[in-house]
Amino acid sequence: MALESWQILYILIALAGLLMGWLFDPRSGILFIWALVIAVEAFDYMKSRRVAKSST
Amino acid sequence: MIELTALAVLLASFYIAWNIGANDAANAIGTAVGGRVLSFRRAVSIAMLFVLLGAALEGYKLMKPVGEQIVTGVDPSVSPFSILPWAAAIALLCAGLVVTLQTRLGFPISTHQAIIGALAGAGVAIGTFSNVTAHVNWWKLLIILWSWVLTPLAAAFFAFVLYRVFEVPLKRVKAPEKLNLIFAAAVIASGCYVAYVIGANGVGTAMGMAYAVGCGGGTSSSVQLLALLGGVGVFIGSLTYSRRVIQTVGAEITSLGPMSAFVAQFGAALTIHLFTQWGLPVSTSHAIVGGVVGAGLVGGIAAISRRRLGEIVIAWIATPIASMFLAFCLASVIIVV
Repeated sequence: MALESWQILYILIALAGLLMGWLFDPRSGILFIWALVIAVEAFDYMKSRRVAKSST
Repeated sequence: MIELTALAVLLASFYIAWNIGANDAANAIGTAVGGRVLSFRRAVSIAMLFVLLGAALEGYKLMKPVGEQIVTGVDPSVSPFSILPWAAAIALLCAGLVVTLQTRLGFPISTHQAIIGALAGAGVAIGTFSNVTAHVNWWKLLIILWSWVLTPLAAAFFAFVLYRVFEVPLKRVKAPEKLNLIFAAAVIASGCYVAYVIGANGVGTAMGMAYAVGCGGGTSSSVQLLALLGGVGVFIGSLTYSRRVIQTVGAEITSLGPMSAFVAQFGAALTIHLFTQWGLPVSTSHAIVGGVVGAGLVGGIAAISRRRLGEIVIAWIATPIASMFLAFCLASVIIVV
């Protein structure tokens, strides 16, 4: 089962959040994951909109 | 040695959390993906944020060993699994293996069911072959079994009735596109709510045993760290292995549109809420499958894939039996050898 690049990126974000939670505070780990996942999804949404606009 | 056992329980708990993500993600987003409301990627991303939120805010409250009343010792307050923590690790591992297999086959099943079956199997092995007293509460198991049967039937009934209730006034609406948008938003909102519940409840289920054998350490920060570990386990499970079960729930039982996806999810949520009020253990997977079947039945029995539904019911029956048998064999071998 091959993983797509976005899945690998999210796994890395989740593991980084876990490390952050372990080193500092669990809540900061969760905030870290939230912020990065939302940022990646927002970037992906903007990119797909730009592609859709340029193709019409 | 004790620390090594605690580490084994922690790893087995993380494996269970991964399994919950892989199998139960379909409960939150299966209808949204099947009803073409969201893409798989967007659905997983949104749902997992709510899983983490549920784990962080409420996961620690529900962190107690699953089925602590299923296997009891001489002193009811001391579980045989806290005397033999390695048996808990074996039970969790066996439950996890069975859930992984069912997920691979695309069956939406209850992880809770697999854990209870495995604990009962390990409990019988402890009571039979070791010098620790362990009794399996078969009467309690029977009550749980009864609620497993009732859950999908009730969810199917609610979904069917809800569809019929919404159908009458909605036939008069002249802009069905707008209506579909409203239903799509409702499916996403209820999916987020289910994801939050999976985060709170599922993480408690997965990490409860690790907490009970002392992995938490007792401080509030370490308990929150356990909840975060469970949340990340569910997150990774959904990302890596949930697609097959989502396909089953969203497309293989019946074909869903935004409205039927909504009534399926709403009917399941109503059932879970009602059964929780009565103190009955419910499976979100059973409820969502029941909801999907109820929504599909509106189009007649031909709209349901009876073959796929039959396979799912067999998987539901096989899950606790297989994990019980596997845990009994493995625990017996370790005790005897």
